[in-house]
Amino acid sequence: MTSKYIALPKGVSEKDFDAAISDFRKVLGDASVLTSAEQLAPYIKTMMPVSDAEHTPSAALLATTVEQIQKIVAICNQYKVPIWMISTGKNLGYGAAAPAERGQVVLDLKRMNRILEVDKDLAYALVEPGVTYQQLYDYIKEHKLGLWLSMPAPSAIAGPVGNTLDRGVGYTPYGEHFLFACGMEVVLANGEVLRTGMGSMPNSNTWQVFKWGYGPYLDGIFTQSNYGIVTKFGFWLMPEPPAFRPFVIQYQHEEDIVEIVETIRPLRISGVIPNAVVIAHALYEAPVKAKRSDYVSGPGSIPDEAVYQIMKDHKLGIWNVYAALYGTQEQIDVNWNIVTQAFGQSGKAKILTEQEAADDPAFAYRAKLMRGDMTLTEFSLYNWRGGGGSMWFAPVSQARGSETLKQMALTKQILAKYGLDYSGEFIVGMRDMHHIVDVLYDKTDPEQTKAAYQCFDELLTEFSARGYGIYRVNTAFMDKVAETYGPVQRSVHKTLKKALDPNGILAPGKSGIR
Amino acid sequence: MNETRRSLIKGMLTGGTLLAFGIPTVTQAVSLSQTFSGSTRNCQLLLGNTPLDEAFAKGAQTACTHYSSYRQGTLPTFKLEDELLTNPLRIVDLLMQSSNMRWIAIMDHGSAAIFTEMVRNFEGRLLSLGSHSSSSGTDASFPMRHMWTTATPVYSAGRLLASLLTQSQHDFFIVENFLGQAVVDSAMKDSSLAGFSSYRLTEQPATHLHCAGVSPLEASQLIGWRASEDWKSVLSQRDESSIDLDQAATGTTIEHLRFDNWIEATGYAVVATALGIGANQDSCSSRAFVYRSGHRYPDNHGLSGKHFVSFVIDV
Repeated sequence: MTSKYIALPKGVSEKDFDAAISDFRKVLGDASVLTSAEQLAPYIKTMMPVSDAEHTPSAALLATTVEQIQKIVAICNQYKVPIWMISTGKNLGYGAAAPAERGQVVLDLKRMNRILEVDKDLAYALVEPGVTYQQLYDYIKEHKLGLWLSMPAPSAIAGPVGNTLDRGVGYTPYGEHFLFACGMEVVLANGEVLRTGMGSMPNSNTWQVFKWGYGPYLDGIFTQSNYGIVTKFGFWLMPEPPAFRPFVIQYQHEEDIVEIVETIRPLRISGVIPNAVVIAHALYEAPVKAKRSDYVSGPGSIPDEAVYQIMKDHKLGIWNVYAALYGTQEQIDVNWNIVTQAFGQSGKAKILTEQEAADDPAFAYRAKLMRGDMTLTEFSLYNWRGGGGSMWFAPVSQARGSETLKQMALTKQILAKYGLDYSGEFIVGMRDMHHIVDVLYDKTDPEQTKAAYQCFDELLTEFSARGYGIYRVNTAFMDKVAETYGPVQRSVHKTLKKALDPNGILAPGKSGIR
Repeated sequence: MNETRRSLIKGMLTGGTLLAFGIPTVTQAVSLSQTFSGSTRNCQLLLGNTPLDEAFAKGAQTACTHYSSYRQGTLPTFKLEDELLTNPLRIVDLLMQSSNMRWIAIMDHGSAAIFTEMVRNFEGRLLSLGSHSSSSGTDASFPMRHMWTTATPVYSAGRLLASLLTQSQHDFFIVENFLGQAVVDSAMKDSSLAGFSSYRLTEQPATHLHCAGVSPLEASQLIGWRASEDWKSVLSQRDESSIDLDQAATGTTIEHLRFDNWIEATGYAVVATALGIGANQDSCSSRAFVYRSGHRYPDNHGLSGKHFVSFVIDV
């Protein structure tokens, strides 16, 4: 029998779903309840090596107010209809806008895109979930507020709420985004509206300036979770520094990564380099300048000789270290001396200033990201191999040189086993280090798609066995990653879920929580 | 403090705002409003600055010419430079000025990732999204691959493309996944194709497979479907007196069409379907055409090892 819906929520009859849709329409109006295949198709594209059918929504709801969301959760509770919340839905490579499970209703909050407050003096913003970085960037420029944003690589089209709630990162000194979050408004599954921290206190004006409030700190449980729907979000902005000096340091040998990280760590911890330092492998940077097919054809991962040729042709290091200094000119001059002395000691580093690297498109987009400007250049990664497959593999380690080569060797070995390339970078945080690898594959090639799935699965297995936890993952592998953090944490997550969302209507499956 | 309407429009990459605030979009004057099948929808070709634009556009214009040979008209074309990666606001402006417009686009995968997001933000209707690849060397067991996600079989270009590609007798497969089934059950009548044997999966009759030169078991493995021997043969109900849909529409049999390369043929099929030619009412959720002759596509045009994405969207 042909259904009028392209999918149905698990365990919900078409009759009950009809009733739920009818009620949604009463709340939102017909035009804001999407059920046709043509309307829902843009929500379905994922880059994961699984059938998109596994992540097909049954409907999408376009809410504009908190009151509408309260009514929506009431309907969902009545009919046991699960919803998958997205703000701008730009979690590309992590599942994008598609729900974790087939048949979930997407609650799309893009129309809730009011910038509620930007305080120039205290340097904070309060926004709704649909606000994009581009929107906020333009607002700040237009009002000459002298504030900088920190955003991930999809900058313009993504937004601060979704990125921070998924614990995404950026490239300015405010790049650890959740660290700079301050105050949320959350619609709970029972329809109550919670304001976290100082937001719960009547007449307080400190919601966006004091994070902790009184009692247990709750904001964290609304990140990478499905315990509530964040409808307002506060975060701190960086005052525009008087001076800014981005730079790149190139190294020619893979084993130099040990020295690089050992050099960076004290500079990061002491604050000499205040932003997360990216150490990008040549193959991570190459797509800005070249395509894989320019250098290699046939099966298997790209050979070292081709990588060296790419480095030569496009003036890349095997490692390309991107960082910046911020502050007054005097501060920058002092810190520049410290940085150049530290990196110059071994004689292996080639330090390039902004002027020397000005014509390099890879440097140009990195410099933009480090000063909070809009750029989408990193999307050229998807053209490296072509075919539309991408999964971010993101294990975390200590920021030590000794953690690098063994991770890289293991990653390359597993990727090579499946014929895939190492498009990786290390990002040195305050004390941690992210190892970010874009597992790129051709989704039109069934063999390669199958290989990519097995490869990613093996990467997760092998890294977790060695104690490298994955900090963020696509929806196809959320359960597996949740499992690697052990039964007690999973049990606590489940206990919280049952307490806050007994009917399991909010994004079941998010981070493996049901 | 509420944001001003102006900054909303200027900064926004989320088109829903326009609808929410009731701001009318700008209608672009395009001369094709009465051209296609009496439709009032305008059509434009959007070339996304790929090395394959020219070939795709050539096929697209051929389709337009054939279809409109008795109506006059060519497909207006908008060429992007590098805006999607460097200046996405330009595309926002373009989409904002589109009203009642059907865009047929070709892009690389980097741009397509962004464009897909924009289509959703503008609450556009995505009729079909195709990913097209031709591997060089021995990269893949099947060097030429087309995978479509299509709203319904009505917007399916697969059968038409299959009929075009068989003429060159090079290996290919086409897989189509339909989000919504067409309401007409025509027992595969419309999708059968000369030279192909047709099957449906016994336990999932909405899964259709058309094979030439390969068994259904092997074909299902090659295209990444669950290997099954449980395929039920469907006798082709296409008799020679029935006229190909495109023939009916254009007066041109596909046998008389010749394309320089597979990209041109793809452009033809995508645009022809977007214009209403060759559409079928095959009631299925998934469909594939697998053609194996043992001949790989020659790389003498420099067109192997290439990938691109095609879109048909209504905004």
